[in-house]
Parts: sequence; structure tokens; C-alpha cells
Amino acid sequence: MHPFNPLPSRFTRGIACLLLALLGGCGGGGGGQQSAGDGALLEPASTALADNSVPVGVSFENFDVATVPMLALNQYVFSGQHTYLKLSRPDGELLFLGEVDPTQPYDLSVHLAPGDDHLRYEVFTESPLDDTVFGEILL
Amino acid sequence: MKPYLIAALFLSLLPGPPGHAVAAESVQLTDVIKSNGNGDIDLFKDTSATNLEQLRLDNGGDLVFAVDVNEAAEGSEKASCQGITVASATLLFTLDGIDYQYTVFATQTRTLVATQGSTNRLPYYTLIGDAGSNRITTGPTSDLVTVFDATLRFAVDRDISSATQARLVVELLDTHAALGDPEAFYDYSNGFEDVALLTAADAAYLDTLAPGTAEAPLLLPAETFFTGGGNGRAYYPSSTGHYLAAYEDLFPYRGDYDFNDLVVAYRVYTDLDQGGNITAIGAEGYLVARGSDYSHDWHLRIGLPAAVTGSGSISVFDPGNTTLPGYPVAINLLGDLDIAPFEDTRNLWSDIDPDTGIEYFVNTDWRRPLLRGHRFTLHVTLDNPLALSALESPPFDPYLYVRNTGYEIHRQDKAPVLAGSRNQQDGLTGFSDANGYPFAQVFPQDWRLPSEYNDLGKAYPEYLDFIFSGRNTNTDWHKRPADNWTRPVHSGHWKW
Repeated sequence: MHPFNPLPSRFTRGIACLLLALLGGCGGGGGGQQSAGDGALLEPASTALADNSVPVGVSFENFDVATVPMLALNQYVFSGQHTYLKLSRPDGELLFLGEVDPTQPYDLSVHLAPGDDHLRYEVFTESPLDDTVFGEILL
Repeated sequence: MKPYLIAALFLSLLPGPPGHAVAAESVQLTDVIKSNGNGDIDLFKDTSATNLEQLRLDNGGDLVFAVDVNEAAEGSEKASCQGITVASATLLFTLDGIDYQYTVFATQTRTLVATQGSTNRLPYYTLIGDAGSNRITTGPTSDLVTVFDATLRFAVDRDISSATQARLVVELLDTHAALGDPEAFYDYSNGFEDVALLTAADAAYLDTLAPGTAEAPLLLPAETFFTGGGNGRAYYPSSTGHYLAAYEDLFPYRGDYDFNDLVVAYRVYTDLDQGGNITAIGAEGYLVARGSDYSHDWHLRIGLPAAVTGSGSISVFDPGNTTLPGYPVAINLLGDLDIAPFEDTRNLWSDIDPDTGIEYFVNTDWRRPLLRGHRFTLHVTLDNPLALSALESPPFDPYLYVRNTGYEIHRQDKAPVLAGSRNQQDGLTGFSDANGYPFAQVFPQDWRLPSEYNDLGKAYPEYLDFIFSGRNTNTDWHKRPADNWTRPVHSGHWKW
């Protein structure tokens, strides 16, 4: 038997709601609770959300939007007529792939985990004379 | 054998009357493209020279083959979208003792890929399809189009009705898959690929349907390749990653913080022209878990300027990959894109024990096996290109409408949007509970949902450190769950 899950799924949500609402109304777990509203971020006493309130304005985002700096693609001399760009995270996850106009670079926004600070890029054409150029972008 | 059966057999072997054209028929071939990427296919194992000539005439002088693309669901390849690259294809005939070879072929799609060991990307024809779909067709097509995917076409400029040999030799390209996409997508990785010969009606059906192509990377349509116009595609969060939208559905009351009342995986892509303007928007998603007695409508809203127009469609598939009745549904876009692919979730997706008839929550109860959820795909083409900066920032607005309470639930930085919701009636414009927590969060793909009634902070001991540090420490908190408090629901389970 699982030690941490005593409630059956058939336990109605209404009863659970009532219990949880009562708990919330009684102060949400007692001594471990943080004071909310002063803007200070304190060390949580318990890891449970129910035991800790958070100040207004705290972010719960798990991604950040990052604008990719313009790549000067026209620095590369290619034989091909079409230029293609591939952008990926360091772990290989693909963020952008496709044809671009090397004379009109544009901003591209990507969505990254907090702390991600660089991307990998590849530039290539359709010509057999052009090998793929690999590089990194520091955000 | 009974006499009338013998007579029927005899009549079936007689040639038709002179000048009477017998209709060509599509035929699946016995030989296949093997798992080593090579196929040497003897057409006469399954058809005659007469039928070949009829198929050639039916297709306006072409012989058209169909391939059932059958790839492993890895990386960006999945059941709904997979591809292979054709290195070469040759059609061989022997006519009156003379051998003829046709090496010029075409498919409907091309891409640029590097061969194994190379980083020089070159154009190749590709074959793209899906797997295990249950297409329902009507009209003058054969059953073969319900399973085959992409066409491979040769122009044959001579009568082949007297051929004594007819073979198709195919070699698939061994792409440099370690480079990631596009090479990883267009490699060959699984078992054999079935091949068929098609009538014009069947070929036209598959070419129009183009299964799997909407999500394929670096898709360069054959007819546009040499004139430019190819699109780029930006992925949110990435081409193989998904967001996991997780909800507490007791709004406006605080919940139990297990964030599993509904969990939906989704991702969005935008097609961009060479100037960086959006030409199309697409998305796909999966039901991951439903830990609630409430029933919901799950929406994905992508904010756009009010004047934006476009058209497209959305399809929803059940866990068996059958399109739900009524789908695909046309989308006529005007302003925001707001779709509800998963409606009335409790009726849509439930876990009922067949022995007891007891209904359980789906994928949140540790006593129950994991179930596969529904999937949706959508693609909308804009009437006019839109500046990328006009698009709402990711992860967009995945929100919930709770049917039992009448409330809508968004992420904290969003506002209610449904005119008839109780949020509007009650003047509730925010989405934070009494403790300051959100009712909706978007997590990375590797997040595993807490099991029923277990607090997110207990399931992930580093989560509050991450939040309380202003998201500066423990940024990979989701990689270290407390196993006893989470369900092993990972992307390998829900992504199909």
C-alpha cells in the first residue's frame, strides 16, 4: 500500500474542497507560514506550498523570453541562392529552422529555461559548394 | 468445387472484349523497402504488364507509387508526423529483350539534409506521412489510401503493356542524424516501408491530403524549391518539447496544490517568411492527466491584433488515433486565436474500472495504470503576414473553463476573456489565491505531476527555493522530484 496517499479517488471533490477551505481559513498550517505582503523573500520553513504564502509580485514563470541578437548572416560568402538558419538550445532542442533573408536580419524571440544563456546556430545553403557553418550565440 | 464457381473462375480469366478498357486498380506490392533502407521490388509479383500500362495511362503517362512511411517515434518524429529521404529510385523494364531504366523521379516534398558523416546539406526528395491513423474516405478511392502516405512518381514515355520485367529499386538516404533536425527527422530508423501502385484518383487523394506534412521540419515543396519562398518555423518551447499546463480548479478557493486537476501538454509553432513575419500558426497538444471530479473545457488562446484574419482547421484524435466525430473543424480567424480542443474533459476522458464500474481520476491515482490521452493539432494560415512582435509572448494563454463552477482559470498575468464566465459576473479579474499562488502554471516537459492530493512543494522539495530566490537558484528544480509523491507520467507516455 502506498504510504502517502490515503484518500481514494472517489472521495468527492466537494468534501476535499470543504476541508481545504477550512484549513486555509485556520491559517494554512501554522508556524511554518511566511508573512506575505512585505516584499521580502524569506527562506521557506517547509517545502509545501500550503505552509508558505508568497509576497505579491513573485514570479512563477519557468521560462523566460529571450530575444536572439541579430546574426550578421551576410558575413558569410555562400554560393547558394537560399540561406537557411537553424537555432537550437545547447541540449539540441530545435528552436528555429528555415530560410532567411541574409540581407535583412530580424529579431527572433525564443523561450528558454531560467539561466539558459547561449544558443547554437547553423547557417547553410542548398549548394554543394557550401558547408554548414556552426556557431554559438551568447544571450 | 461447385459448377457455378468453376464457371465464374473461367469467366474471370477471359480477356475483355477488344477495345473495352478495363479500369486500372491500385495494388499493394509484396516486396517492401527493407529496414536497411533498400528496396528491390518486383512489380510482377502483384500485378501484370497490362495493369501497369493501364495505371500509366490513368496517371497521364506516369507510374505513381505510394509509400507507407513507418518510422520510430523518436525526437520530432511521432505518430502524426514522420519522414524519410530518398537517395535514389530507379524503375526498370524489359521490353522486347531491351532493358530500360528510369532514374528521374519526384515526390511532393523536398528538404536539405546532410548524409552520414557530412555537414554539407543538399536537396533531396522526401516522403512524409503518419502512422496508425484511421482515415475514413469516400468517393472513388481504394482502401489503400487509408494507410499509405506519400507518392513517388516516374514519367514513363513508352507503352509497357508487353514488359517482361518490371522492378522498382529504391535506396533511402542515411542522414547524419546526430546533427538533430532536419537530419534526425528525415532518417530511416524503423522497420520496412510498404509500397503500392496507385491509380490517378488514389494518387490525387494522397497528394492533396499530404499526411504529416504540416508539422514536418524544413519542408521545401518541390514546386517552390528553385524559386524560393520557403518558410522558416519557430517553435515554442522547441520542436520536440512541450509546455505542461497544470491547474488547480477550485478557483477562487485555494486548492490542495497538487496541480493535477487537469494537465495538458502543448506546443506552438509559427511559420515565418524571409522577413521574419508570421504567415501561419500551428499547435498540437495532449491530455496528460485529469485529477478532478469537475469537468473542464481546455482552451489555448494566442493573442493577436484584432484585425488579423486567416483560415485553417483543428483536428482532435482519441487515444486510438481516430478523429473525433465532427472534426476537423474549420477555423476562421479574426483577432485572437482561441480554441477549445478538449471540451467537457470528464466525459471526454475517464478511467473506469471495467470490473467494478468505479470511475477514477485519470493518471493521478497511484493505484491505477497510466492511460494515453487525446491529441489535437491545428494549423491556421494568415491572410496577410504579421510582424512577429505582434504575437502574444509564449507560453501564450492556456486556460481552463470549469463547467461545474462557471469560472475560467488563467495564468496569473492574464485576465478573464469569456463574456459569460462567473469571473466577469463576480468581478474577479485576478488569478492568485489567498496565499499568493497561481491556479495555473506552465512547467517544462520533464515535470512529473504530483500524485493525487500531494502538494507540489512536497513533490518537488526545491520548488519553493526556486520561487523564493526570485528564480535564481534551483532553476532545474523539476529534474529532482520526490518519487514517492509524483506519478511517473513522462513524455514517453503521453506523447504519441
